[in-house]
Amino acid sequence: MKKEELFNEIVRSNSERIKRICSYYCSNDDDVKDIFQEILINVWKSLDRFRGDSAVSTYIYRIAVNTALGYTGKAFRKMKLTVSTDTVNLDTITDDDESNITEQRLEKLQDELNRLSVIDKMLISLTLEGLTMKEIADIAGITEPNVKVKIHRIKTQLRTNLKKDDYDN
Amino acid sequence: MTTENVLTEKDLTNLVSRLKKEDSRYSFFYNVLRRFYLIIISMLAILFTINVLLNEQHTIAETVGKVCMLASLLIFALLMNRYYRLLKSIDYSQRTLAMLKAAARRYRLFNADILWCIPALLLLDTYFYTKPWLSSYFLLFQIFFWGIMAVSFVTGVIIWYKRLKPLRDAALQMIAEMEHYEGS
Repeated sequence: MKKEELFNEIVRSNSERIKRICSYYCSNDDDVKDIFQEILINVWKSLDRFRGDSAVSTYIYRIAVNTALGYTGKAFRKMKLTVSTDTVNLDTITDDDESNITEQRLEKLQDELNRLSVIDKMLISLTLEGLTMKEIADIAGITEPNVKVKIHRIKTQLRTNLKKDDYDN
Repeated sequence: MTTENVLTEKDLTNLVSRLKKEDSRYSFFYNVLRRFYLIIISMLAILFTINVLLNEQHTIAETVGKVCMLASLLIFALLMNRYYRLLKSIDYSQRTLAMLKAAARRYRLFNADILWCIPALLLLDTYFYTKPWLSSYFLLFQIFFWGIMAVSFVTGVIIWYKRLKPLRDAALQMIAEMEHYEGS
């Protein structure tokens, strides 16, 4: 298959995936479009090296996450992780029933997510994608136990802070 | 938000065509530059050889100077070749930790490769040293030559400090966070 055909095929079958990753990191449409295009450019550039050793989805996630980390550049500390009521798997990071999550609760969750470090935001974005610990470890390049511990710690921190807020109210 | 909001089929076709143009432009530029260096070095080598063979008053010092000049150009050509390859090898499909480590290496102030500039500059300076027309201004020329090099070096360090050091610091901080295993 020619590079152009392979590229078109990969983009068509993964555009939703890429778009979701973009929307985690950018809150406005213009930024989403810019980062989406940047990811496609990086997919094109690294396509010659793609040997099919890993799943196409893993390959796409790696490029998307790495581009998002690089895209923020010097402003990486300000990188936001955006979730909405449309975000799937929200219940995997909180104890809430996804269908009952209120706007106020979502706002609080959003605040808590944005207090996380860049790496924690990256791990949470992949968790929201429904990836397994093994897949996340493969994308990040760290060990599976390390991913498990980090994600467990983040979830505990999020749940504790959300509960604390419930008591305060 | 639908995919069409982000990138339409027409956008994708345009993007692919731009990317293909970019690829061919890059290869063209890279090949032109490589050939330019090769031609310059070859032409100078031929000119120097003819000059040495035909000019009976040619001294050994002048011959050494010309060899130094060619060696200096060759080192700069190889360095440029290496940097272009390095830039082209940036791979976003690597694991995040590997990509961050590669970025941290790339944004170091001093890479081992840069040390090759020292012999290249010394060789270039040796070439000028062997030029008879420069002998009366030798000290002045040395101040001028190494002064320019010092200003270029300081400018490079300032640019690195302002633009690349923050990126390297950010990469190092993320690496440290990723490698920190909280279970231990």
